[in-house]
Amino acid sequence: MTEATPKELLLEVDDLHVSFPLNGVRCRLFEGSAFPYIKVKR
Amino acid sequence: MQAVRGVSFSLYKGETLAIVGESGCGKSVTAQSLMRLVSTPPKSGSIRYKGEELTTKTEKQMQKLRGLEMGMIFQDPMTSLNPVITVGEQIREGLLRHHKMSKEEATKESIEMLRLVGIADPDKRMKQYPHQFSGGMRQRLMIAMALVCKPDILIADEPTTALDVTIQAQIIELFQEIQNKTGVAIIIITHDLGVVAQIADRICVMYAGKIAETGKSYDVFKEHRHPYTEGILKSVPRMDGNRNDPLIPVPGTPPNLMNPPVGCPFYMRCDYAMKVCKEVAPPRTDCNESHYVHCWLQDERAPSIQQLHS
Repeated sequence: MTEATPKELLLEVDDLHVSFPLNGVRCRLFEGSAFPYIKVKR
Repeated sequence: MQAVRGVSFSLYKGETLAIVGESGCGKSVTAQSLMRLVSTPPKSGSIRYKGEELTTKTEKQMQKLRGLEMGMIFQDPMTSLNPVITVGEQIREGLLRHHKMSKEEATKESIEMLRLVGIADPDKRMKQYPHQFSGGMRQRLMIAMALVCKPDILIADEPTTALDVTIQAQIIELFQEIQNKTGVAIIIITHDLGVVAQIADRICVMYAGKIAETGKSYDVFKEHRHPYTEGILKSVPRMDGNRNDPLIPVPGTPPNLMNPPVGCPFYMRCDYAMKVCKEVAPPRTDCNESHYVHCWLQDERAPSIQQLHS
């Protein structure tokens, strides 16, 4: 594509904000230990 | 978790836009939001595709758009392909759904697409299952699946991360070849600056859910203005560098996006941080018509980098 060719605008993203909750996940890591196995209660 | 915080960019027909940044900076959430694949809709802002607003579309309207107007490729092809359905069926699914083709026509079209992505003996391969393909071949299948309906935009979320380097090069060449043949616009998400240098027309550098710097590839690689861009470029090995020179990493870690800082998110890791960086988010500074940066160093009142170091 040459610079002189007018380009067709396909997508325009403007001031997009996305957030989501991290529900109820809690982990603790202690010095010298491996990352704990996370048990999911059903 | 505020994953994306005020991101703006545009994409033109036939171009390749790379979104780069370290893990957790919001690259993938931005890309998934374009196709509305994030479980929570965007909090604010707009996504316009050919002038149409996507954030207000219903799920049914989005389903018509996914695959037909925008295709997406994910990092790990094995988890994206269904292991118990033949690849042929998976590729032609989009054609049957969007183009209402007969099975015979869709199969013919799918075989052509497999040929385009470089899969030998496509008639036979159509009847095989994903486990019968190598990693690189599976990624080619994903590309075929994403492009079979001839979308205008292809979003590739770290398409080469799970592949070894020789296959990575082949996949990047394939992207370029397909773009030349079909004119598809590509958004490539990666943290591999080698890939970016090879393929991108424009680059968005993201940090902590925001765009730190954006511009044409040349501007970002050669005329970058943001200390974070400088940091990630310095942390990559160079073929023309001295082999005894150590790589310079960006020290520290990104901020917690559960409670993001009010000022510049990079100020804690920045060598040139000033008082204002901690307190006020940097405004956008335009360097040229397509190159802009969010950094207080670009403010006309800011001292020079030499002054900050003395």
